[in-house]
Amino acid sequence: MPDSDIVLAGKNLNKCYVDKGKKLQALKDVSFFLKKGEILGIVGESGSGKSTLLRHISCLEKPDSGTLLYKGTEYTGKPPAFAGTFLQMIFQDAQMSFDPRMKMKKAVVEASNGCSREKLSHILEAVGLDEGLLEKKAGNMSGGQCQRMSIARALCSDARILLCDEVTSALDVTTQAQVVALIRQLQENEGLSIIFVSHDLALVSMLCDRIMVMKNGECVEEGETSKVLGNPQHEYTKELLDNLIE
Amino acid sequence: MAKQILKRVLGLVLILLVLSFMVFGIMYLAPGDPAEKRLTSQGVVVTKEILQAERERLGLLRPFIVRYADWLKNVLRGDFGISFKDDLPVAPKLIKGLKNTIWLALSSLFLALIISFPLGLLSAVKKGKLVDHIARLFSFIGNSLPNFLISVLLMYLFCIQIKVFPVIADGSVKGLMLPALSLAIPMAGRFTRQIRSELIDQLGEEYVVGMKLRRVKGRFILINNVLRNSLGHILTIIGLQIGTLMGGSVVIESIFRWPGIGKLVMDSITARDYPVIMGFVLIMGTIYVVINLIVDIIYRLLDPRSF
Repeated sequence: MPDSDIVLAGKNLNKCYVDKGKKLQALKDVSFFLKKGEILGIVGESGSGKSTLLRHISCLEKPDSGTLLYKGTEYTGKPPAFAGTFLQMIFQDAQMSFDPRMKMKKAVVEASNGCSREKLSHILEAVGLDEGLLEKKAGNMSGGQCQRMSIARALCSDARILLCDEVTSALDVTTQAQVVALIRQLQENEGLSIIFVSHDLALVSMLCDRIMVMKNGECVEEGETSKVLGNPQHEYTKELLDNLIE
Repeated sequence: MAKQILKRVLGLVLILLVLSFMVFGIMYLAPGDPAEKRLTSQGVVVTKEILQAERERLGLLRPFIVRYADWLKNVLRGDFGISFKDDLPVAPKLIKGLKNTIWLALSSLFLALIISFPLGLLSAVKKGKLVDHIARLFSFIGNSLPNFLISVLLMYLFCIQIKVFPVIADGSVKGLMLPALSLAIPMAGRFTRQIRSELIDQLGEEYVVGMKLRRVKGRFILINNVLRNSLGHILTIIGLQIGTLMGGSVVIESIFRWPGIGKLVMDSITARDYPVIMGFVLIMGTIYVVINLIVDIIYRLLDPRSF
């Protein structure tokens, strides 16, 4: 696949936090790329650096070294609003990602000036939500509805890249399956590129085209999902697979 | 909501009833004889007969429960009894003192807020920067210094060295400044820390992170979302402080001779003027629980999650 198909890339990203004189290397020389219309899964245990990587990609944090590229143009160190022009993040706790005082109507279109009523209706239909929910606040909706609404909100802002941070962890099994199906459908129908972070290897293996395994801030293995899971090279990947089989 | 408020009001009545009983009981059990104290303060040579007659006159010989019921009945009619010290009705004294104390409390609260709110806000927004360190240092110092020490320092500086304020607060606006500032500085220290912490929590919420990514302007997020969502907590902190201020200004009122309810009660404790002391505790208790109730209601109205 030519380089022009790569929409997002990170090269040699490093981040070290210092807490009470103790150093913690959260990202160690991490490199990745995301192609147009693909789903890249990032797996690893808690504290492996998955969410930290997403925070760096979305410019919520600045790396100590390394570069971030969007369609070949560097955007390292730019404000989050800049990254927000081409990517949106979907959080684990969807309810907390909405202002508890705001009605969905306002929350969904808060910054997307170009989101017309027709477009919003189309997006809500795509994510399988009723327009009546726009009159509700996050506290009055279920976890699954909130998660769908947060996906709708991301789509409203015209982002072509979605960063999904453990989006299914807080949901029950049925709702999880619905959200995963929705993500797959959006990727196929809307041509979105998605980074899907999860500690659930089974889920990632079902959904993602490529996979990246992280441990202690390092990318230990990366490649097409079938190849990585069919023939794991790193001990940690093997361990994760063994746990999955058990 | 109305049901919840009604429940709280009924609970409040019960609390006040228990409080009134405790106040009366403690005063009943307190050592010292108010009749004897009263007679000696008037220069009367106390004999057994005179003392007995005075006790009779003050109604001290009746059984506890009769005295309590009598006192409570009168309190409910707004009559707190007659002062043992000067035979004057207690209620007007308490009202006059209370007015001055409320005036002092609100002034110090206002001063504390105009200092702490911008400091707490700046400190949260510029977390880790120089302004944050300065604000935290102020908060630490303000919190560590007791208000009586601050009042002495302020008195030395503004009354003795610079001579811009009177040593004795005479009830005027000028006289109010130093007592209000003495109460405001430690309070501003506490408020700064609490406002900072609340805003930092809100700024780290996922909805704020998401809004930044959705290109909503930082100032808009701060005013329209973060501050509005923090208001409930900030209001609770302020509300609780009002109650503490009303009762806690006793020392400052005594130092500056501010004619508030605190000074009145200090004088009454020395004179064992039980009707005034009981009236004071009951009024303060009532103010405290009523403010708590009001804050609770406002908090529920402001925070949709509490419904």
